[in-house]
Amino acid sequence: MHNKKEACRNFQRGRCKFLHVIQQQPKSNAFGFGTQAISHQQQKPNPFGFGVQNNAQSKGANDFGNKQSQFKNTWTRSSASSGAPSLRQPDNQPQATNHRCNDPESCKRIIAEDFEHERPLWKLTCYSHWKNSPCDIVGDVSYEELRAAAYDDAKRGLSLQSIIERERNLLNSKLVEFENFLRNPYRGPAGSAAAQQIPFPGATTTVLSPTTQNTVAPQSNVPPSVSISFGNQQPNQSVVASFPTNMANFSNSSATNPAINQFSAAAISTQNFSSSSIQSPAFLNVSLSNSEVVGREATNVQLGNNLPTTVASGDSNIWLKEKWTPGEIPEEAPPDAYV
Amino acid sequence: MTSVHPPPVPGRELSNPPTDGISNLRFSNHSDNLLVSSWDKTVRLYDASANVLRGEFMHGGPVLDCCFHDDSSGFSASVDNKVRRIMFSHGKEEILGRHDAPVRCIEYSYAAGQVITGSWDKTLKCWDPRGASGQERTLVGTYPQPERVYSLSLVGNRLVVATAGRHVNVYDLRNMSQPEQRRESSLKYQTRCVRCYPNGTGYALSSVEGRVAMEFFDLSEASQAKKYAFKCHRKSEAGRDIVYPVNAIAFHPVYGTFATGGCDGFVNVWDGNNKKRLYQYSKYPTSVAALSFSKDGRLLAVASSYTFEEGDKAHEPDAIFVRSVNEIEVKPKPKVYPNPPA
Repeated sequence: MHNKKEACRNFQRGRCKFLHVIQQQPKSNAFGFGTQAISHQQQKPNPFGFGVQNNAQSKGANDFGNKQSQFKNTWTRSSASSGAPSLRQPDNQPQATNHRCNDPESCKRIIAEDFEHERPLWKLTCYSHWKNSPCDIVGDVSYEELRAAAYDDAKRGLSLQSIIERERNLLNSKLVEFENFLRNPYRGPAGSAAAQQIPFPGATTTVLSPTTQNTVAPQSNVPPSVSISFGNQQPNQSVVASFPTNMANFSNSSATNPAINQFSAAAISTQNFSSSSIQSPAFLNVSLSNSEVVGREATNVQLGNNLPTTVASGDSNIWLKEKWTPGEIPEEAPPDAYV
Repeated sequence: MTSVHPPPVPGRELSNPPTDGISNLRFSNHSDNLLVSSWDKTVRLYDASANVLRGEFMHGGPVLDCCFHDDSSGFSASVDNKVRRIMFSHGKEEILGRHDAPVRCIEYSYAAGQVITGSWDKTLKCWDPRGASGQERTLVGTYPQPERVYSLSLVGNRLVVATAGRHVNVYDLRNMSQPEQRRESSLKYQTRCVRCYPNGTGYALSSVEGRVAMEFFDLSEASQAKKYAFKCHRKSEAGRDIVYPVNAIAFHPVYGTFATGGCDGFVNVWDGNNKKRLYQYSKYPTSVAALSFSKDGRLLAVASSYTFEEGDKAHEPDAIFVRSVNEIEVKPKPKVYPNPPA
């Protein structure tokens, strides 16, 4: 297979006649470009992919068989032989991988790619750079919530102008949050590990500037048309909208640093989530880029009866430290008390 | 590779549509009655075949969801925090209970005999509609969720709840004390809609990023190997994709194929098992807000109603189209297998 770093260009333009099914992503080192969505890598007709019509595109019966075995040979690394071109990780997780950002560069690349090519029309969204992982950017708003607040404010007699102002601020702060995340996805406390793994501004300016330009330009069209009537523009300003606490959450999450910072994330998670036992362990996953964190932290599906009630082995003050040196990073998720 | 272009018939437009955005619409399990909830604070009951408005029920605020109980009554979820039962023939509604914030979704479980509601107050509530009205008598339980509830779906004894922040909880209705499974969405952006497969083996989840994920309840390796996600509802323009939210998913009751509707105004029909798109209907005037197949799969109701994904702007009038469904649009096509060597 090619070691292509770019996505299939036709596919990006929406004109590829072969359908790219996005499957589970393999380990980052598999083929050098494995961390990108697999859809980008399939250069050949994919009989399993979503076609516009039926099998006509699979180029005949023989290819069907060939592709199938080709998939098996090339991609499947473990025992999955259901015939579906899915990828299983060699570890025995029943779910998708516990993504640990072992290679921040490739994760940064994923993020840059996502923001470059797949910015959704709806901006007030949460985001995670790895599927089945918790959100990197939190505080999403659905358009129904926006609309409900709009109607509410209009009923209370707020001027359209002020409503638009507040919504524009909300939108802009969310966009800024995305931009900041793109620049600094990792702000974890993993000491020296962070320093060597994230050669930030220097190496990545070339990546960043085109993306920021690209992403900013289209958005400038959005604010003028967004005349949403929304509650808050500043944190702690409680507007009697339908959901004042949520307003505060949105503002807070945009005001703080990207949620990858595990401690601020922990703070946010206590605000936002009433029962989210997987939240902070997974943040640990993301921020400790070079750590040995393994074991019982967030499996991506938590069975109701097996909630991880982990106890920090040893000194529980470890959870209160701001910075961890590689040797002392605990191997388990923080107990709920520290979440 | 282009899609087959169907004749540009969007279906028959229902008369007396709501006067503001349509939040959801549902066919009855017993007839071609269609229940429609709207931002104009009404729930409307139509006979979709006859194209007749049979009832209109005012609420205290915009109505975000509705569902049938049987052909004589239904339930509604409103922005005024209240859950209501609507008696169609009596032409009145009564309050079943309330949440602390707008109620976003409502379902009636025949298996449990309960009404289930999800709200932006981050809870799920179950109600026994046979109790007398008033929250004390009807509320069966309150179940906290990690975030505001955006969508929920039932099949058999299973309930799937999708919330903000991409959380997904799967419950067994027989034991609501804690979720059977807690997951994160396998898509990267905000969840829009979740719908269980009619065969009860899993659910489809759509997001704002023009993708749908096909998931399975069974956590075994073999089952999880079947899960996948696909891109849809995107338009390529000037070298990059415009990525539209996928607002609605509806499963065909007979074939198990499903339709998705997005803010691009298109409705696509997919065969999830064979991973193919079966059909694309001609473009609707504006965003597709909701979809529903009739009980026998012969009709598809499409709510063409701008969903405010770009804020307040001029848009086509909100309308409901009911179209007849042709078998070729929804029936799975068998795979082509290679002939065995002679």
